[in-house]
Amino acid sequence: MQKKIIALAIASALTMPALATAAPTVYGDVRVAYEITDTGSATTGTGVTAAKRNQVADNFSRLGFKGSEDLGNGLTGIYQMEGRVMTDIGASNLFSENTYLGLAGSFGTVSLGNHYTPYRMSTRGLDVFGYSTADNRSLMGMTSTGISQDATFTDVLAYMSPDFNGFSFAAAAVGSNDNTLGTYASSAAAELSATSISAKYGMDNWSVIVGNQTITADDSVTPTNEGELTATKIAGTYAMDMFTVGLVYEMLSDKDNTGAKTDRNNIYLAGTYNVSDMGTVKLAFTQAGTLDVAGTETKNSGATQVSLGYDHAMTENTTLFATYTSIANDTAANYGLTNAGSTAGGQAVTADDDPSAISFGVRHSF
Amino acid sequence: MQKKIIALAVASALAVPAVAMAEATVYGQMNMAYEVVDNGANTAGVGTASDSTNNVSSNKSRLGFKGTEDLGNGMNLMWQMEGQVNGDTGANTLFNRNTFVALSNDYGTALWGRHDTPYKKASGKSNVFKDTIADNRTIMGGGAHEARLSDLAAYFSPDFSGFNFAVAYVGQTDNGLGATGSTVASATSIAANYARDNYTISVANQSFSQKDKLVAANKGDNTATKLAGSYSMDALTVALVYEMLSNDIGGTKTEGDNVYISAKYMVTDKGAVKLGYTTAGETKTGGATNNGSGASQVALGYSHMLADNTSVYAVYTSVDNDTTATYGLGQRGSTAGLAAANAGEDPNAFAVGMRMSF
Repeated sequence: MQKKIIALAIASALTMPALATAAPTVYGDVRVAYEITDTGSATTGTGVTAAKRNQVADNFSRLGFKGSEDLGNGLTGIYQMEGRVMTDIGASNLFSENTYLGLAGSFGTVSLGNHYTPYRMSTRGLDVFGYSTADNRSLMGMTSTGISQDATFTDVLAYMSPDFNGFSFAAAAVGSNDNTLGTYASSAAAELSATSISAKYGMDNWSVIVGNQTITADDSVTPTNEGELTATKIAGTYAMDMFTVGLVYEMLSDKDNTGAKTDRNNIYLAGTYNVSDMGTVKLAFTQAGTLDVAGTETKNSGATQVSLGYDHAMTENTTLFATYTSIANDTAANYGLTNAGSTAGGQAVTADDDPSAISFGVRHSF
Repeated sequence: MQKKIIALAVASALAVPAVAMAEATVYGQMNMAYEVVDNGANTAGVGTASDSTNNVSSNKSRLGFKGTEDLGNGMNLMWQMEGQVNGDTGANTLFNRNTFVALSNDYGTALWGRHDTPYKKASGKSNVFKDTIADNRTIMGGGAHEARLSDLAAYFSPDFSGFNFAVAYVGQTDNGLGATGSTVASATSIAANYARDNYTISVANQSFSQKDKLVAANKGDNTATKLAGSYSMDALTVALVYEMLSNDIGGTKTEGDNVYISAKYMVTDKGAVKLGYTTAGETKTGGATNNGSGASQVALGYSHMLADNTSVYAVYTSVDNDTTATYGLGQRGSTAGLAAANAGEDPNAFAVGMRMSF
């Protein structure tokens, strides 16, 4: 007994938490590829600026901790901390992905944290090359300011509805304190906020999705930092035996402080076909429309991207993959391969050049 | 057999430890709030210093790993790595919280690492709004003393019929106590605590000492002494902390006294109404009173346990700075705070949050 008391005293002295809940689940995935990338530049370049590069690239490996507690009355407390691990260089960005605390019940889920927005989540699953060099965010969601409408936002209050006979919706308000979404409003005086909504109606083999998101920058010191970035999309999926197809139509409208707008429409079309129990052939096509600046079309500012891949599922948790992707930029367009999915992306591209990449990799979830 | 050899070869090639000890426990806490904050730092009236901001804040959310090993003969080893996770921005400072290795037996616990000082721990429980924007360290501790320190070696005594004591020495290399150039900084921290069924008394002293053979202006001591007590009666717990701060680094002595009073009343077995009041007395520099340098803070809140490890809370706090005082709500409890307000401004905040331990 005496020992027990001492042990307790020590535990209390060392601020050990009194009661632990069920141990958190440790989960994640490891996604690594050998990639050959080419910016399409005729100038060869040297070192890390070389046009052609061979490299081991991380394809969005993640590490997370999550758990829940039953609060009674049909209410559950849920938490998650999830971040990126760059397996190619041994760096990490903990906990840059969905990291939140929330309440779930028959009313749906409410959460506070660093979170993907409904706009992003609503069609992320339609990207058949999501989290690879061929990730469709090279063209989709990318505003004229360099801010992606598909970025992760800080300070997010999110609500996700339950499923009402196939219908569900989500809404999020993004607070103003911590969001510094790139160069568009890098001024310390800028206040950034956003609203994001999405709705989905799905049956056994098809679904229709709509989404809308507005990012607002207020800045009373440097008004040129002010503006409003709006994105709207409609998407659909259809599955039949061995086939799945998905289509996304997206309208981006970026308004600066004078009210002048830069508009662009994007189309994404993707399909998968199961050639065997373990093998899937995947094909995707993206088109970035020409820019419309204050009502005037910028000629030859569009681009198209074609991606072709094969996935071979070794087990439920492990898949080998091979992917080829290429962007055809019009003469005035300089879209590069995104680094939103692979560390091999993100190289700057000169207008009219056509970047491409070949990847061989493995994905494993745990 | 062949398989086993191959497995061993693979294991060794990948440098996986062959035999694991007792498993490490993964634990932590998420504490997130929606806060409407006026930091009272309104220079341009914009951005994070804006008159009023709405934010999602992370209130000391954390992740840790810990374990123990029985060393035999009544000796136990404990280790812990714990760090802060900012759930609002997805950033982390792993492992800046209590991260240590400790040995304990019937004669007490010896600990090495980064840890709360005995001074901080002596009145930690009285801070009823700990890990919220109404945390009493807006004023208490003078910004430096209610902290955890690196390079810490500590001894925690066992419990002698309600009495225990703790001493810590903080080494000079990594502690960040103003050690620059030729300055050598170290610290000592001691506390004595006595607890009975319905009351506690603590006394504590902590001193940061800077020595400098070349630059006299870097020499001196920054000292804090406190007396704290708490009393419980049925559903009510009240606590009082009196703190004396004295800092003569640079040659001129700055002094100040702070008082903190808190009360917690359990209105049901799950719901608690909490009240906190802090005053910062006017400081003295070189014996002369700095007029208008005082401040007071009021905090009022309610917390409700939803289950063993989950609670929700609402809290309001307001700082009343005298004409020259610049106390800000700070980030000791919430990422939404700012360290300093403009002189005479009155920062205030309202927060609704949720806390979950795992």
